[in-house]
Amino acid sequence: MSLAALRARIRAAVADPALARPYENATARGRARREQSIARMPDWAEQRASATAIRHEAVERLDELGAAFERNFAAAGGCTWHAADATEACRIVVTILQEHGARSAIKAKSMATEEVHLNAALQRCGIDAIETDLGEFIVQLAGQTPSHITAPAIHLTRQQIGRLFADKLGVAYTDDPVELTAIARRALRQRFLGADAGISGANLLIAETGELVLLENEANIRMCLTLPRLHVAVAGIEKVIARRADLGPLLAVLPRSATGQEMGTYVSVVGGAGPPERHVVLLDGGRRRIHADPVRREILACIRCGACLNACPVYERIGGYAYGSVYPGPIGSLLGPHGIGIDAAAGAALPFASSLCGACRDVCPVGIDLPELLREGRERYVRGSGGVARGHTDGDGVGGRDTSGAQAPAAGAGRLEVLGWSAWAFVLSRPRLFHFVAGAGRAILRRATGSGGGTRAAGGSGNARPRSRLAAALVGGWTLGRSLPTPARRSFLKEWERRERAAGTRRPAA
Amino acid sequence: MRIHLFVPCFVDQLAPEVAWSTVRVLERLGHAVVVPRGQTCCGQPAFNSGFCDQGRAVGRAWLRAFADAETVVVPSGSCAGLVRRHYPAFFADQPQAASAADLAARTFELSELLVDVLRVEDVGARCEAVACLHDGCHGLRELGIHDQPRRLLANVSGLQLVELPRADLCCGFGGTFAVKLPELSVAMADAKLETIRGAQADLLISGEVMCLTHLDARVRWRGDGLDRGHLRVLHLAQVLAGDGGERPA
Repeated sequence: MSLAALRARIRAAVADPALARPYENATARGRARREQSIARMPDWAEQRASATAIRHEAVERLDELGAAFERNFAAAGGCTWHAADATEACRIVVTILQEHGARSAIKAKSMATEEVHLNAALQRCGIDAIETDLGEFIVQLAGQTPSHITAPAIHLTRQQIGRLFADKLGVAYTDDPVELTAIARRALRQRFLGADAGISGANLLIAETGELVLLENEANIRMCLTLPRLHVAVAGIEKVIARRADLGPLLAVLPRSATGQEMGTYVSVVGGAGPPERHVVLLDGGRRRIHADPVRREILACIRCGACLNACPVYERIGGYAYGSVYPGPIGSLLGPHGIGIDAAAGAALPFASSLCGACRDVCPVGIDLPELLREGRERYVRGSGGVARGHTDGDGVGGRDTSGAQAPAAGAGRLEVLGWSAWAFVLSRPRLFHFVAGAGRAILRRATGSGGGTRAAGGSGNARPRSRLAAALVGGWTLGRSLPTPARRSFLKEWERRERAAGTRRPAA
Repeated sequence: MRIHLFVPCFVDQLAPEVAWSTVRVLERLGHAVVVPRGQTCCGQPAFNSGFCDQGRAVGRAWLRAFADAETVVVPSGSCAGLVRRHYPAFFADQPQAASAADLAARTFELSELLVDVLRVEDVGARCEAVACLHDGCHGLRELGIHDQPRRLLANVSGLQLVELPRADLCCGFGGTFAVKLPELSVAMADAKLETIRGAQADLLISGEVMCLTHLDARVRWRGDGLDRGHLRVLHLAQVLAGDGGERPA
C-alpha cells in the first residue's frame, strides 16, 4: 500500500461520523483504567523495568529459548510444529484436526490465529470453528475482524450488538449488556460441550518448563484448554520467556496495560502433559526476519497488551480497520512492513500513520521505543527496502505461499519526492541561498493570503485559501481544512543581521 | 551568560516575534544573546520523513553554525529535542560525531534553560488572561518538559492558568505528517480544539510555534472562532516577554 492508498483509507475513516465516538470512548476508558491501576501500584516503574529486561533478554536468546521450550513441552508429552508462514500454519492446524477426526472446534481469543486467517482455512476444510471470547464471538457473528488487539468489538455499540444478536441468533432485541452476555453464553454452552478440538493462542511460552500461559476474564479459554480431547495452540515464536519466575513482572504489567486489571481473572499455565492431547504451532510469519535485524529486533518484545492503541491519537481518530492490518495502531504499523498482519508491500507505508507524538512509548510496558522505530521505518520506506534489512536475504523458505513478503516489491519514495528533499537540503545547507528562497516563498504566500503589515501573534491571520496555484503548490495538503498561515514580512535572522551591521560590532556575531 | 540562540526555520519564517521575545526575556535577565550566522534548520522535517541523508546535510550546517556555542537555547522543544535526543545517533558514524554529541548536551529548550539551568522561575512578566497550556509532544516526551513552563507561567502576574484536560494530547501537526495525511491531521486538530473549548480559556499558550499555527489555522478555516471570539494563541516566549510578542520598533 502506497502512502496515497493509506491516505485514502484514512480519509474515509476520518469522514465516517459513526466511527469517531466508539473509538474515542473506548480508548478513553482503556487509558483511564490503565492509569488508575498503575496509580495504585507503588512499584510500577520497577515492575515495568523488570518486564522490559525479561522480554528483551528473551528476544536476544530467541533460538535457544525456543529450542528449550520445545524440548520441555515434548518431554511432558506435547507436540510442537513449526510454521514458516500463514499458509503453513493453517495447513498444520487443519492436518492435526483432520488426523484426529475433529469436525468442530471452539476457539479462544488469539491474534496469531487472526494473523494467519485460520477461521477461513478451517471453514474451507469443513471444520466448524466458533469464537468463544465474547468480543470475538460478536465480531465473528457480524462477519468482521477484530478492531483492537485486546478489545475486538471495540467499534460496536451495545445497540448494534443487540440488533446483531436479534438478527443472527433469533432472540428478542435487547441492548442490556448483562442480557446480551447471557444470550452469548447460552449460544456457546452446547458448543463448548460438543466440540472435538480447542484452538487457542498463547500469551507466553515458558522455556524452562515447556508451559503455555494464557490470560483471560471469561473462563472460555479454560474450557478450550480442557473440555475437548484435543488442544492446538498457535503462537508467534517470540512469545517465549526464559523462566517461570519471569511471570511475576509480566503478569503484573500485562493486565494493567491491557484492561487496567490488577490481574487477569483467570491465568492458565498448561504444559505438554494431557489430557487433552496438546500441540503448539510456532509461527514465524516474518518474525525471524525482524530478529535478524538488530535495529528492529525489539519489536519482538511486544506482549500485545494494546496499550499503545489506547494511547495513540491516530488510532483514536481512525479506528482499527483503516490501517488495513490485523494488527492496528502503533505496534501494527511496526509489524506491517515486515509482512505481519498485512502483506509486506501493503503494509510498507504504515510507519507514516503516526504524528510521532510518542504517547505509545510512554505506555509500553516492555519499553519498546515505538516512535523511533516508526521514524526509522520511514527511512526504510524511502529506501524502498520495506521491512527487510539491507543485505539480509530470507533463507528459511519452507514450502507454502510466503505471505510475509520477502520478495515484496519495494515501496519507496517517488522520484519527485527524492528530488524535492535533495533540493530542500541543498538550499537549507546554504544560509544565503536559504534566506533568498525563503524570502521569495514568504512573498508568494503573503500575496496569496492577502495579508498586509502589522504585528501578529504566532500563526498570524489571513485569508482561508491560497489564491494562486503557485501558493497552493507550496503548501501542499495544508489548506485541506486549514487556513494559510501568514508568513512574516521580515525574517528574524535577516533583521538581526541588518541591525548587527548597522551597529557595527556592538553585538558580536559567532 | 553568553547564550547562543537557535531560531527554528518556521519561527524565523512564520513567527519571528517569538525569536524577538526570546531575546528580550534573556537580555532582561542580564544574559548576552548571540545569534550565529549560518543557521537555517535542524533538519527535522527530513529526518522524520525518512530522508536522513538530506537531514544530515542540513544538520551539518547547523553543527557548523553552533560550533562555538557554550549554551544553545531554542524556543521549541521539538527542535531542541531533535538536537539533544537524536543528533548523537544521526551522526554516530559521521565525522561530526563528537561535535553532535557535544552540542546535544548543551542545547536547551527555552523554559528548561530558564528553570533548570538559569534557575529562574519569575521573569517579571505580566499578562491579563485566562490561559491554557498545550504541551508540545517532543518537548514533553523527549525532554521531559512539563513543570518548567507551568512554573514560569505561575509567576506571570495577571495570568490565570487553567489546566487543559489531556494537555498532552497531540494537536495533530506532526511536521510533514500535516501535509502527508492532512485529513487525519485536521481531525486531530479538531479533537484537540474540543479540549480547549472545554477549558473556557481566552488564550492558548505553547512552547511550539507549529502546534499553535496548526490549531489557529484550523480555527480560522472553520470560522467558528471556537465559540468565544477568536482563539488567541501566544508562544510561551511572548508571554514571558510580557509584550504580546510585538517587535520593537
